[in-house]
Amino acid sequence: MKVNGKTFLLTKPQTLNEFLKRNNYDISKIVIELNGEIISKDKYNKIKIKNNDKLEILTFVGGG
Amino acid sequence: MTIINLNGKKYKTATKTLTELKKELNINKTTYVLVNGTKTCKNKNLYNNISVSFIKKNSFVSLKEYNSMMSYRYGKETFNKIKSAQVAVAGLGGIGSNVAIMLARTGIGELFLVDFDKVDVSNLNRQHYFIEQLGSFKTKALKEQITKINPFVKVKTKNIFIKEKNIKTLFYKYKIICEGFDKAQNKAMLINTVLTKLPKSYIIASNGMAGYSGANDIKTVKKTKKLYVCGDFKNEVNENNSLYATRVQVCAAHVANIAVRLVLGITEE
Repeated sequence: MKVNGKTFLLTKPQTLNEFLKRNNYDISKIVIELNGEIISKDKYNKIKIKNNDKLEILTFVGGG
Repeated sequence: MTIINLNGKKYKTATKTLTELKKELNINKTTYVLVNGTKTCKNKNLYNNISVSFIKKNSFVSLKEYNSMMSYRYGKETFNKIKSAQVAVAGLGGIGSNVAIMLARTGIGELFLVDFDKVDVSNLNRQHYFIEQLGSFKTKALKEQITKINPFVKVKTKNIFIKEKNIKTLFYKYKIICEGFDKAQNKAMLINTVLTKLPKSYIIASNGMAGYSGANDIKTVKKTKKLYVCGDFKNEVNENNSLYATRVQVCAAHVANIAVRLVLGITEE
């Protein structure tokens, strides 16, 4: 799969939530686009990701 | 005879130049001249539909004069789009307060300003407020300022803490929403909610502007069809990395600029 433009090999089936936790993303600070669609937070647990998916993870930092 | 647009009204004159027109109307030196919306000291030939405004020094203009002046300045089509635009600003800190002021100066017809907070002394190093406004609601303080800059902007305000549950009700009317929150979690929450619950709205977010590294690191990126993000995407505010007026205003200007571009129908960055 592609994550922020970089190739990433998924070794086992997993949900989006599992993927994010495993890769140390802070779920409260991100916006996710999966294959061109914005995914609302309540679906992170339900969506299964697979190779060939295109995942964009935008992480926000504080200040404004 | 020439028919000119004089202070926003049609005027028929036999004079051929600006100097002759001034004599005809007894315009003296306590007045300055705008030709097609731009201040000028030079003589000019008159022609049909030229816009001439004589404005007393130190005095403001009527709505009619303002509309005429700005239409000539920006071009009628551009000004009409700006004048009829409605933009919301969520969070009125360093980004939001400066964005609101810039949009008001530009002449955006309606601004909807939302924040729960009051002005305090720690805000003054970067947020657009005055000492005399300490303790005022930020919404009220900004509305007061905008009235003094551009009274023709309609300013709507709401003192409320923005959360997932009230976003749809607060912002459904607005096609352009500028995010001006401080905390990363609140930014992500607003953006996720707008993109999933208000799919017709554009959201312009800010992401990374702390510290004093180069201003050129701050940029505008179109992330999805409806999401634009402005910032350096990196410099987070913390005990070792403060927010400075300069970079915050660079970032705010990026946000306001893309808002104006969207108002004008330009969606590519």
